[in-house]
Amino acid sequence: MGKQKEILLEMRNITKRFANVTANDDVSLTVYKGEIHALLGENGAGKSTLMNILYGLMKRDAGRVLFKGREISLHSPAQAIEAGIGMIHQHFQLVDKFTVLENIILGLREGRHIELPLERAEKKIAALCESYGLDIKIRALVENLPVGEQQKVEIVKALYRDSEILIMDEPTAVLTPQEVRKLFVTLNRLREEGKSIIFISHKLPEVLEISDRISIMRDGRMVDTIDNTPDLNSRQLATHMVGREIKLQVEKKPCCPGEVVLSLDHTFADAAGESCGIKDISFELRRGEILGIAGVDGNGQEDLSEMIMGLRKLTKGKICILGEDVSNSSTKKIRGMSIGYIPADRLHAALVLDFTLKLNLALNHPDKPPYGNRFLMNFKNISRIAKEKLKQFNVAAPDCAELARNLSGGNQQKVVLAREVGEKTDLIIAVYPTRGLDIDATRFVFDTLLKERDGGAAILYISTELEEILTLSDRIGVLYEGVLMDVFPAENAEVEKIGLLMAGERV
Amino acid sequence: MGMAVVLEFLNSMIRVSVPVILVAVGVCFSEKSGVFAMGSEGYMLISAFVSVVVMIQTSNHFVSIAMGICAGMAVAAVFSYFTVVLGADQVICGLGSNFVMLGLTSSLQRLFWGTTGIPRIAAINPIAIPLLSDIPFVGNMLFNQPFLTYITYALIPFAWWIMFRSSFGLNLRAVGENPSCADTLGVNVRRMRVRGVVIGGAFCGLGGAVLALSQVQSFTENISGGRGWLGLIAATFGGWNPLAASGAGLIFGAAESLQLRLQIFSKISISSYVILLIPYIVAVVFIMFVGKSKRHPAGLGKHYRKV
Repeated sequence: MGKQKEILLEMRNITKRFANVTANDDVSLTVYKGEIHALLGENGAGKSTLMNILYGLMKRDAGRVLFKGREISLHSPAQAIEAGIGMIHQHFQLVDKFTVLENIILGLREGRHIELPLERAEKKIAALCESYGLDIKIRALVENLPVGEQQKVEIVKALYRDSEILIMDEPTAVLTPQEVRKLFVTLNRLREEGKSIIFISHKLPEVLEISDRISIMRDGRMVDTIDNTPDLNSRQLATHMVGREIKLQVEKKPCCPGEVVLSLDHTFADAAGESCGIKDISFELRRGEILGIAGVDGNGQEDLSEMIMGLRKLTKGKICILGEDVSNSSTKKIRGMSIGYIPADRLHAALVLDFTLKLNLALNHPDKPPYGNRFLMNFKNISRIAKEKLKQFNVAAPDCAELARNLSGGNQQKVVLAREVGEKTDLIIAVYPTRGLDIDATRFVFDTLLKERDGGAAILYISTELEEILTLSDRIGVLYEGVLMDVFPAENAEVEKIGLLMAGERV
Repeated sequence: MGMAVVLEFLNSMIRVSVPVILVAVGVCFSEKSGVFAMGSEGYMLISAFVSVVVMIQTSNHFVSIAMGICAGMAVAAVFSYFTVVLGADQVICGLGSNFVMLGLTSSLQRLFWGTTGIPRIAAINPIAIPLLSDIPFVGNMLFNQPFLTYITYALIPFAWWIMFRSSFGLNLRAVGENPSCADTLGVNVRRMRVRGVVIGGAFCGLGGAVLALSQVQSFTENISGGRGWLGLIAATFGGWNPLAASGAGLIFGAAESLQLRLQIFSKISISSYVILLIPYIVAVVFIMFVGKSKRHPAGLGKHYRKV
C-alpha cells in the first residue's frame, strides 16, 4: 500500500454530457502512486465514460486532468499513452492475426527506423516479463492464445509503453476463477513495483479483495471514495452503489424435482462462425429444478440454447421435450409447446427495437389466440394483455405503444421476461438473462425465475457469472468448448472445482 | 524450332505479366489497409493515357512513367477521400471511378486525335543483362527484358519487406485487421488507409504506364481490358501477400501470353474469340478456388468511424 501517498493522477470536476444525459456530472477522482483503486458502479453509472475521457477516447465538456501535478491535454489515446496512461479494454484491443510481439510494438515510433525493431523489442519484453513475473509466448499468434494469456499481452503492451497507471475495464469478466487468481497475483506485483491500477468492476467481493481504495459512482456522480478497511463489507458497498439498503441474499425453497421435461441424448451440433458447436451433450431436466450451466463466454452456451430451440441443426442425437421427440423440429413447432426462451442477445434476438412494446409482447405467437389467427391480429387483445403484463412485470414505460428502443436495458429484459414467462410455461431456457442489468433488475429476474420454478417449470439457466449460477441452481453443469464437462448437485459445488472444469480440466 | 517457341513464350509471359503483377501488388497495399481496390482498372486507364500523352510530348520514358504514376495516385487520392474520409461505399465508388476513367480517357482521346487514334510511340527495347542472360533456358526468359521488368523485379520483394518487416507495414495491416485497436494505440486510421489506397494507386499507375508504353506502345480505348480486375483477383488469390500475389499474376500473364501465341498460329482452328477468352477463363477458375480458402483482412470494406 502506498504509505507515502504520492498523488499520481487527479481528475477534477469532470463533466460530460451526451444529447440528453449527463454521463459524468462534476466527477473528481484522485489516484495515488502504487495503489489499486477500484471504480465501482452499476452499468450506466458513468465509469466507462470517465475512463474513456482519461484515455483520450472521449472529449470532456468541463474539468481538468492532472498527471504528476501537471495538467495534460487528452485529445487522443496517443497523448494518454505518451503521458503514461495505459488502458486494457473489456474487449481486448488486439489484432488476432498478429503475433504477440507485433501486437506489443504496434503503433510505436522508435527513432527514425523504418524497419521493425523486432530483436530489440523482444529483449525489452523479456526483461519486462521477468521483472513483473509474467510469462508470455512472444512468437505465438494472438488468436491461438486463451483469454487469460491475451489479457497478459494487454498488460505487457501497456508496460512496454512505460505506463504508470493502468486502467482495467472489468478485467475479470472473461476469466475463470483460477485465471482471476493469477491476474490478482500479477496486479499485486504491479502494485509492489509502484504502478497504479484503476480497477473497474461491479463485482463486490473482487473489489473488496484486491483494492486499496474504492470510488463509487452512481448516476454519473462520484458518490464517495473510501479506504478498503477490513471491516468494510459487500452490503455496505452495495448500499453505496445503489443508494439504499438492498438484500443480496436470494430466498430459495428446497427443490422438489418432478417429471422429466427436457432431455438431451448424445447431442451434437456443428460449429458455426466463432462458436465451437456442441459435442456429445446429454442431460435431463425435471420440473421444479434449475439446472445452471456455467462456463466462460463462447464455450457453446449459445449453441446449446439454439440447438434446443431448433435454431441450429442437430447433427446427431435426440432432444425430447415432455416426452416428445423434437430433434430438428422447426422453431415454430417447439415454440408452440409451453416454452419460454430468453436468448443471449436481447437487442438482436429477443426484441424488435423499432416495434412497440405491445407488438414485441405478442411476437412469440402472433398467429394464435388471444393475439390473433392465421390471417388477422387482434389488436384489442394485444393491447389489453400488453398492459396487464407491463404492470405485472413492473416495466417502467409510459404505455404499451412505446418503442422498445426507448427503454433501458433492465426494462427491455423485463419485457422479454413478460413475454416468455408471462404465461404458463413448462420449460424456460434463459441465456445470460442478467447481462447488463443493475442489481435491482437482476433481483427481479432471479425472483421471477424462482417463482416459475416453484410453480413447476423446468429451467435451464445459462450464465457466465459463477455467482449467479451458485445462487440460483439446484444442479450445476459446466460447459467447455461445447462439451458438458460434468453435472453435479449445487450443494456439492466447490468454486475451485468449477473453475478447473471451466478451464477444461477434468477433476 | 520447338525450343525457340517455348523460349519466346516464356520471355513474353514475364513481359506480359508485369502490369498485372504491379496491379496485384498495389491491390495488396490498398486491401491490407482495409479498403477494397475496386478502382484498380480506372487507375490503370488514366495512367496509361497520361503516360502516352506525356511520352508524345517529351519523348522521355522516365517523365512519362512518373506522370502516369502521379495520375494513378491522384485518382486513388480522390477515391480515398470519398471512401475513407467521407465513408462512402467502397465498391460503388470503385466501380464509379472505373467508369469515369473509361469515359474520360476515351473522350479525351477522340477529342484530341479524332478517329485517327493516338500515334504509335517508340518501342522500349529489351536490355540483355550480360552473363545472366546467357544462363541456359531462364537467362533469356528473365534477363532479356525491358528495363521496366527489372524495376518490377526489385519492387516485388521491396513491397513485401515494407508490408511485413517495416513499422509502416505493421500499422497498415493493423488498420486493415482491427482499426479500433490501432486507434487505441495512437495509429491514425484514416491517414494509414489513405496512404494504403494511394500507394495502391501508384502501383496500378505504374502498371498502366508499363502496359501502354512498353506493350501496346499507344493508347487505345479501354486499354487495360480487365487487367485491373485480374490484378485484384491475383491479390486475393495470393492472400494479399505481394510475393504470392505476384505469383498469381504470373499465371495470368502466362494465360495471356498463350492467347497471343495461339492467335499467331493460324494453323490452329479455334475461333479467335475463344482464344481471347483464355485469360478470363483462368480468372474464373481462380475465383472458384479463392472462395472460402482465404481469410481476408477482418476490417476490409468496413468504414471506420471514431466513437
